[in-house]
Amino acid sequence: MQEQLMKIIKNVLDDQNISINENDDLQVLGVDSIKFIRIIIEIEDTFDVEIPDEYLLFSQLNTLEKIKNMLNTLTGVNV
Amino acid sequence: MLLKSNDKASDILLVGIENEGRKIEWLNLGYLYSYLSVNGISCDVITGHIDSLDIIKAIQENNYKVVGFSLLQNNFMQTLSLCNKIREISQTIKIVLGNSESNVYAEWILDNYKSVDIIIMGEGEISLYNVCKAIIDNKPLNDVLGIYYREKDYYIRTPPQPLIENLDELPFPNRDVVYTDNNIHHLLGSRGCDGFCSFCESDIIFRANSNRRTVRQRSVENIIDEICYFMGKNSFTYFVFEDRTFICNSENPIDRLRKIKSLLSLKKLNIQFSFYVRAEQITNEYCEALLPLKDCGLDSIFIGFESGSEEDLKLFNKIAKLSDNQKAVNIIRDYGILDGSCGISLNFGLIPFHPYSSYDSIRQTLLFLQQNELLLVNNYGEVLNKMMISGTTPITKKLRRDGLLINSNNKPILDPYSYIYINDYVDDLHNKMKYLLNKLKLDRIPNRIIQNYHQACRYSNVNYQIKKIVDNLKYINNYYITACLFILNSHENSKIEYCEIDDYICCEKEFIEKIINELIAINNRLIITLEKNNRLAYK
Repeated sequence: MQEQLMKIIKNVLDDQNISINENDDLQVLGVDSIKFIRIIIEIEDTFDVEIPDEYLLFSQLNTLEKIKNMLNTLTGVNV
Repeated sequence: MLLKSNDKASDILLVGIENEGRKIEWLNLGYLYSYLSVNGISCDVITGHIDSLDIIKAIQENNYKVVGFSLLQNNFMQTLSLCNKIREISQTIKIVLGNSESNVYAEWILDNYKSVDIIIMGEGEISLYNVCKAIIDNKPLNDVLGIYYREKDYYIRTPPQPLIENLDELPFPNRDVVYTDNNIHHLLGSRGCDGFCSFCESDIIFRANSNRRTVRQRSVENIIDEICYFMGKNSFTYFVFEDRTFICNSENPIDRLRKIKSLLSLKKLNIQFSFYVRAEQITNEYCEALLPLKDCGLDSIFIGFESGSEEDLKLFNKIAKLSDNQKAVNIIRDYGILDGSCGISLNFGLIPFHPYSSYDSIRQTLLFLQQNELLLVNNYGEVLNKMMISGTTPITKKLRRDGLLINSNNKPILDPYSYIYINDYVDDLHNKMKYLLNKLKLDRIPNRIIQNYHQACRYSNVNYQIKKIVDNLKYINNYYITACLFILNSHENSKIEYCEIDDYICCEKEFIEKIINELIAINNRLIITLEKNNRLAYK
């Protein structure tokens, strides 16, 4: 699942070679508010979840680790 | 971007230079390109930031006979410098300028930039075509109407080119030339304006063609045809009618609204759109005709209220008096437009800060906002908006007379804020109100949350209450206006310090931030809904 998340972010950033660490600030990597929305859409489609409003702020999901934790909470599955 | 008309060599290159990272919608070049092409003159178009454009290379590699520039306030010097560089590499190419700025400063340009050969005065299509045709055919320019042209050591102005009376005869603007942001496209339903507002340049260019009324409207059929033509190769599209007169100056604005509704309903187009409305034209009957357009995609109207001060409105030469503004607000409130609850939202313009602003004029505008609960939806920029001037804005003459221009000589005005305030406290007051806005981070409030709500409701079950969204917007709105009035009153009595503003907002700041975060999260969900349904225009 981590690989799926990485793939989503790389696809949205349109950069397959970018290196993404768990605590990297996605904004620094080039994710803006529009790309954030695209990442959310991709995550919802891929993992068949609806992300609650409290996570729909960029500051709540601005690292890979935060996204993983959110998905863990939502799905009960360790991503 | 270089757009070539076709594979064969073109005689004409049209250029639009952008700077400061600001993208420009080159609707004018789109029209010129189409007009020349339809009339048998192939041309290329190049637009973009000056650093990314290799115009010199394009000119060296192509045997253009004419290069034409659209001269704007914010590309003025770059364009003229480029004219000089082009002249260094080619003595034969004819350099032509057009658009409002070149009209106002035509003689200054011809005096100071010998590289410029011709300036189109007024509406461009016919004069530019005639200039190009004359140059291609090696004919003299003295028969071309509506131009300045250089002849040896002097220049000549020819008689005005009459305005194009029937706009339906114009080909649709080439949309490959026009910059577009996402799914948003700009349209002109008319040209000219009956308004003559002193801060607005929209009618100035046509004054070179005629001293008479310059307003001309396209037929509704012609506008819808353009939309259909465009939609033929595109999915969902948002259209912004850029003309100040799309409905306003019509002899029968209500009939025009009904006709638009009727034709759009017939075509069942997948669009959203917005347009400008004037306060003094708002009536119950007008709103009755406006509301059904919601079902065809109308999601917002724009009204230039400009001020809550009668004196300001006189200064701006607005047709609307304060009573007209108030009446318009009352009527659109009754129809649910004021808070967007009917599905059509209100955007509005204000100019609280201008060279003649005073405590009283700014206070009256703030009170107009507060008493009417007008929602600030443009990043709160409405409250801080400063008048922009140029050589083309009618008020510039008054500023020059009153000694309020920073450069009082006759050089072109390149900075839209190059004036001083008659009351020297205004600048500091503006800074304090801006400080407040930044401290509260109000620019984070999503501008289009109400429109997004109504659109999302069409495609999905939305679990939010529009009333709660509007109430939250109103709460922040009222808090900011009240705080601005506090700053203004304190400023008037004794200068307020920044730390006093911090103290004023310290109790409420966190709560405001919490509400804004909630609004952002809601808006993000609405955007996700729209994006999933391929209905997102503003991204």
